[in-house]
Amino acid sequence: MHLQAFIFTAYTSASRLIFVRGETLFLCAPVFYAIGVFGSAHGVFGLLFGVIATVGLATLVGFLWSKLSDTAFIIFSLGLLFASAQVVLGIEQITGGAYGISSTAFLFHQSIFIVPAISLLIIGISAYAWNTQHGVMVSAIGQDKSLARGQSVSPMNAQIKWMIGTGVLLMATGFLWGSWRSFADVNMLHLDQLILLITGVYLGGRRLWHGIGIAFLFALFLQAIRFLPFNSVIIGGIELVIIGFVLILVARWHKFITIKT
Amino acid sequence: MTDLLLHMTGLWLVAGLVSFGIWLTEKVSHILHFGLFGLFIFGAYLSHLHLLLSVAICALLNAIFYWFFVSGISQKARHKSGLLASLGFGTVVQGASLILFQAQVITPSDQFLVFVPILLFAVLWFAFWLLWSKNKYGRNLKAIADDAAGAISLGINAYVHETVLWLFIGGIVGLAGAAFQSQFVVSPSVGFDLFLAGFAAAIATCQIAFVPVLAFFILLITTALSWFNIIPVQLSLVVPLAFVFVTLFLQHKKA
Repeated sequence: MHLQAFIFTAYTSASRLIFVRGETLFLCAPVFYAIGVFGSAHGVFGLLFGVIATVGLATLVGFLWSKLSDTAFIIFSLGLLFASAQVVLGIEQITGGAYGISSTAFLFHQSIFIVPAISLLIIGISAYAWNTQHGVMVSAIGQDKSLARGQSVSPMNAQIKWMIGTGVLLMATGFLWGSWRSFADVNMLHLDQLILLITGVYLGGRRLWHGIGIAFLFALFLQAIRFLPFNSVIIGGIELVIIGFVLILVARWHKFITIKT
Repeated sequence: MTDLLLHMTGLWLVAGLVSFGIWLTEKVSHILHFGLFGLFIFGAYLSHLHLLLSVAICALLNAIFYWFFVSGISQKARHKSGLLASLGFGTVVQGASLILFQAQVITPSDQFLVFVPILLFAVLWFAFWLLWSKNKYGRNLKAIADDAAGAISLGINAYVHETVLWLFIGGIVGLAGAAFQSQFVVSPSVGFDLFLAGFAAAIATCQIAFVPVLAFFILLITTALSWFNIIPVQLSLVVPLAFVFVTLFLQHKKA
């Protein structure tokens, strides 16, 4: 089960590109992840479809990111997440639950090296992108759009490109998860999972490697809780209390969330 | 027909109360209080024991969240960090209800008990409306909402005023939980659709009196679309979301 920690770290690393580098609450990150998970049921075609769908959706979301105010974008991204969950539920209802994934084309669980290797690749790409000039520019735009305009940079282009890159990384992480577990359901789009992601993203603060390391340790800690001698409902409750409490503490004391220069 | 009317009344009361709570928190404390969804389920479970227990404990929990988190954050910084912390608060309360009530499924107690929360809500809303529009307390709250630092410099005790408000909001969400429990089966996963209908109503209007009315219309549309099989029940959440998107778009155009 420790392999799950690698995937979670890759997931948070890719998400940090918008949450922390892009300076906004990117609450629809699980939607891109879910495209990958559901795409993994259909092998190469699923991957191809995932990339096309991700690029299309990311262009739209990136456009709105550059046009809407910060609060409006946050509410929009949360709405997109819930709407996606409802659409998946609706599809499941219409197809009589036949849409669930029972087998995948790539059986990653047959080798214990594939998951860490691909996760590390995604983390590496995220880390590289973080330090590029484009990353610095997106951060500056996130803090002050007018400043970026003064430097003759188009915020819209920069943000759309950044969103597409992040979306593809998130989709790849979801594809990895789906191929490893051979299983997917709508839970990944639920609020609990979003809150887990946000906590993992913000727990490490603004520094790149702190964020990656702490997300990994946090994932291992959450898995260790499952060995407590309680039934699964109480363990689920304990997990929620810990995640929620950590998120409150992070929101209270991490200055970078609250202050925009 | 009576059942349908009771169900609609229960739904309206829940969405109306929740939207009222979200609207007030946003207007005065500048926080989109998503934590109310967890408080709502906790209130529904508690009301199985006693209605007043539900109101009192939810009010206290909401005030504790205010004391612990909101009061220490400046007004400008509250939007983003407040949203995150309120999500965390909702998760903590949801986790606590899982631990305390072990994910029990509680069947409706007595359908006609829905009128008790309605009566209580009517009294509370009227009292609050009087305070909000006809009293010094309401004027002070509006001053705090406009500029907290300025209000404090004028001698208004923002801490006490906001504490009373957060107690009130927690109490009405506890009432919403009680109304829900009197009509519907309660389990840890229910209620978010209703919360979102309330949320849509809260952000789609700027007038306090319109909030519950709009919540009612959103619910009516949602229920009618599902009732006549125009959309599957699972897609009913799309209706309040559409309200949210349209409102945001209109606000953006206006700005």
